[in-house]
Amino acid sequence: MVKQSLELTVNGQLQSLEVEPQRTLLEVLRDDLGMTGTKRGCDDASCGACTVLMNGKAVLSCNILALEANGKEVLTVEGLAKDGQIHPLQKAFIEHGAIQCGFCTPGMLMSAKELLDNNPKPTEIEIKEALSGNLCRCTGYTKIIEAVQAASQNK
Amino acid sequence: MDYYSVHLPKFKLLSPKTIAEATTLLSQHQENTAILAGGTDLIPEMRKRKRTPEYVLSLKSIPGLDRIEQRGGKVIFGPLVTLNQVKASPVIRDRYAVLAEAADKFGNNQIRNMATVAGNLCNSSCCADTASPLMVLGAQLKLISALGERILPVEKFCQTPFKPTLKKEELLVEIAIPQSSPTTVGTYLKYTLPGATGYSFVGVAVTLDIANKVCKEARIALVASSQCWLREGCLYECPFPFRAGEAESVLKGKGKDDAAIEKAADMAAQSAHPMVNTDYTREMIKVFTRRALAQTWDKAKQRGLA
Repeated sequence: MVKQSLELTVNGQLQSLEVEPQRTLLEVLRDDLGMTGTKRGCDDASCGACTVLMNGKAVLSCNILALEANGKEVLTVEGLAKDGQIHPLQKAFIEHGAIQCGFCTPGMLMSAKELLDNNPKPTEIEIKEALSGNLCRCTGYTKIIEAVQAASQNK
Repeated sequence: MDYYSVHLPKFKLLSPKTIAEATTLLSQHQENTAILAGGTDLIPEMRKRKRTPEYVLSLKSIPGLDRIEQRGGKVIFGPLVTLNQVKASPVIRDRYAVLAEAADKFGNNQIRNMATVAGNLCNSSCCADTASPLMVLGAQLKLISALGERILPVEKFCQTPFKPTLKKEELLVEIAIPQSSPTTVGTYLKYTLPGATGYSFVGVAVTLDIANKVCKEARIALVASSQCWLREGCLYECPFPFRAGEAESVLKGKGKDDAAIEKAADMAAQSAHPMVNTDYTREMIKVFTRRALAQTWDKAKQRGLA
């Protein structure tokens, strides 16, 4: 299959690659760019573990062709920390016990980041709706919601 | 359990820069081309090898297809307008509540950032949440091919689940919603089995045109998946989505009348013919039609129409 050129910004850095059309953004992030923070949970657009921000919007990277991200800005969990400081959301997740196995966490953080970027003081219902596309099998969600609330209050 | 592969099947990606280029490519490769808008139906199907097109034609390189415009009183969507755009649109929230409410309940945030209204209609699933609101709103769809264009109302477009009235060489380029009337009030209610991101077991769209406390016109449209897992290889012709015409006529000319609402809900349920979970689906259609009608009357009252 013929590879096509792909240029995208990932966590602020321009990346130039050659990829085949059937590669997904998730595969390219993990396998070509070595950024394994974004997880492959279901490959079915059902679980949200692969959530990244593309041009500021939370999307399922398992369901996006890598070539569709051409010219776009992608933010993954690796891009949340700045200058050696973790993001307030990451800090809140740690402090509130919102992480057990950690597999859903990157996706949860990215969905929560989109929420707080657009709605800095969300209600509990708004937090639940924003995270409804991210499944967690460990925590029962309570601590995750508390962590997002805490992060929204401390900002 | 569906067949599933870690990798998508191989294909050639076509990225036209204009609609004209897209329709030319479609006419050349119509037998084995899939159109990519949001990809939330296409990509999972490809992963399960239910669709293995030789070409995937992406609309994403054509500028301007993601606009919601107002033209001559109508609201016009391009084919790349996403569900979150609809959810956030002030004009839709303000004047077309039945569609805004369907967008609110559609999938989840990530799906809504990717999925398009046009794609939802073209997939024409028996649980397509945009289909019944667009039916009651009287939306008209513009289809374009290299040979010309035609306009179809949603009822003619969505007649059989998964088989929209769309030729292989055609593209859905515009969804036009007629001017809203200040006396029309609407509601969309969706019943999913417990859990987020569920397919609509039943989805009811209602609009009532009410003046002087009397309903001049009622429109009821339904979708239902009934949790029918045949949906991906549907051999039957469950008529979803559809307009419940007989139920509508029961309400016309009447004020808020609980008996009429009950009768309309019952008739809507009886006019549906789901192939699985028949009794339960019909019961849920009745319950949710009744609730949607009652809520619409309440909204009319709040607006001073009833």
